[in-house]
Amino acid sequence: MIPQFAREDFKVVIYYVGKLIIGLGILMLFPLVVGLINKEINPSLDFVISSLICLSIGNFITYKFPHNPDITWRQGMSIVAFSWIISMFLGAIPLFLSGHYYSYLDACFETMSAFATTGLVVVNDLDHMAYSYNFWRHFMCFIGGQGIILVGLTFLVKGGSGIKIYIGEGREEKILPNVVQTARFIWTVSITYLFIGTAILFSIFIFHQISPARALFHAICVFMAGWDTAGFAVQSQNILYYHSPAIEITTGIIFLLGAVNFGVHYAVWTGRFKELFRNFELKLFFSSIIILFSIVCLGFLKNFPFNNYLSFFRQTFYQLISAHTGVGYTNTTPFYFLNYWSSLALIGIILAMGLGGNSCSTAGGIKVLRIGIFLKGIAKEVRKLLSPESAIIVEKYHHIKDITLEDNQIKNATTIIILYILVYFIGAIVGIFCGYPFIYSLFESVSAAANVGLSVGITNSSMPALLKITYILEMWLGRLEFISIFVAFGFLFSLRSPE
Amino acid sequence: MNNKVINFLGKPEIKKLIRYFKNFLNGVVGIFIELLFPLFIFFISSIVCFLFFILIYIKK
Repeated sequence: MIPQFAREDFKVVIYYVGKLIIGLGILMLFPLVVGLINKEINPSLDFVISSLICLSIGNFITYKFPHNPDITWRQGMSIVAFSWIISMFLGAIPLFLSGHYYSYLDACFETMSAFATTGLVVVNDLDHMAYSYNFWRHFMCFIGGQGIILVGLTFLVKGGSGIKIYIGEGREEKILPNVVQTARFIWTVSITYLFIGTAILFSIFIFHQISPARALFHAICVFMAGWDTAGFAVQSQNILYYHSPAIEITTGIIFLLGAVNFGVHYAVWTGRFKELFRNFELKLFFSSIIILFSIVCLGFLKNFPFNNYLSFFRQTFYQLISAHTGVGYTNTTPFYFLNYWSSLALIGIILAMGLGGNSCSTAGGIKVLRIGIFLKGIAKEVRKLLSPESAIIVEKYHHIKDITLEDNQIKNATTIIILYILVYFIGAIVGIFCGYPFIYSLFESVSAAANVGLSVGITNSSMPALLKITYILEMWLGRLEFISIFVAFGFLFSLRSPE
Repeated sequence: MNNKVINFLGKPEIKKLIRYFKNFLNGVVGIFIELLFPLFIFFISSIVCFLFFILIYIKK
């Protein structure tokens, strides 16, 4: 029998959620600084109000509920799930106050899209948005991509309990023995690439004759949304706005690196360069890019809407890697998707979105490693059937270290794969119910649940509220990879009164 | 002279400094090698795309 949650569990969960709310309030000071630098008085006030709300709620909660240093697994999982949903409600306050959203639901949708690094947008008149609001949108992508909990682990949570909330955020691998060290290493990689990527993007924007201040703002925002595979852009036309192959190549490199496992980054950065060529997940990722790209190319055999080879390669390949890494940057328009992309090409993109990037990276989706484990599991079963009954079949793969495939791993991978597919189709059914064709509904649903952000045009501020809520739930489930959310629901249903 | 150099390099703080420098160098080389990975994907995919482009051109 599963033990019920008690009031004590509730206090611990609330205490840590309160701490993370304080963290969110502090993070809101960054866009406030951007607003003050750009002399945006009203937006700055919005951030002061939002930050004060967060700090007041957070401090009230941590004061009211006593501190308990030890966290159990189920408490940790519940903390993660509740932190994400509460961060959505609080992070949406400045966006709602900006006046760029028709309703608070729209602001919540955009906030969850940013935190979950999805990149689906419902904002109105993005091209005239104040710098501070726009910075907040991209900064949320960076916080969410790194992990709200990871941010908390680095600065707010001390002690050995961190692992129980770290795992809940969809990262199963500990790169270093200590979870706080792991969190700091992830930050080191991200901040290093933040400087390199921003410098390169800044140079390209300057070359394209954008003013230095604007170039720096665009470079930082594009990097944050690209590295954390979110796909938000400063302008409404996304990457298409720049019409620049150099930007497309640079962002492509950024998000391909963002979709690489942080464990691989660690191995390469500490001198184990061969890991790049030996890693099972990376090899599979590379193979799936080539196979899915071939499917997309095959989709244009009958109808070829491109002028030449370069535009064919630029559009199809950029869309594919954008989908596969879960970033959602696009150098085409939804109109082009709807009218010129064949169903086969769209299916190639849907499959790429559904599979996702590497585990323990900033990418979403099922994750290539799980597919690899699943396929290895099938191979193991077939080999078992072909061998004598007494034979012991051992299947191995190299992922940071040599790993022997266990039945438990296959079971876990299969469970998550099935859950993702279920969510993809449930979202598609809701889309059909709201009156959209199946292929487009599936496209948008997979894009939301796999935290990609590519759109065929369904997602906009005028879509039905039911669909907005469905996509919010899909983004939340997809980002946290189900388990912590299921535990949190169990927590809600089994809260009992003290006896 | 050699002994002086060995003694100097053997100091714990110098050893620590050398270790930091070695780690830094590994990181820099690692970043360069990592950057080759996306470029390799770009290169192979451009070849695949070119083959399909020729196929489409022939079919036309």
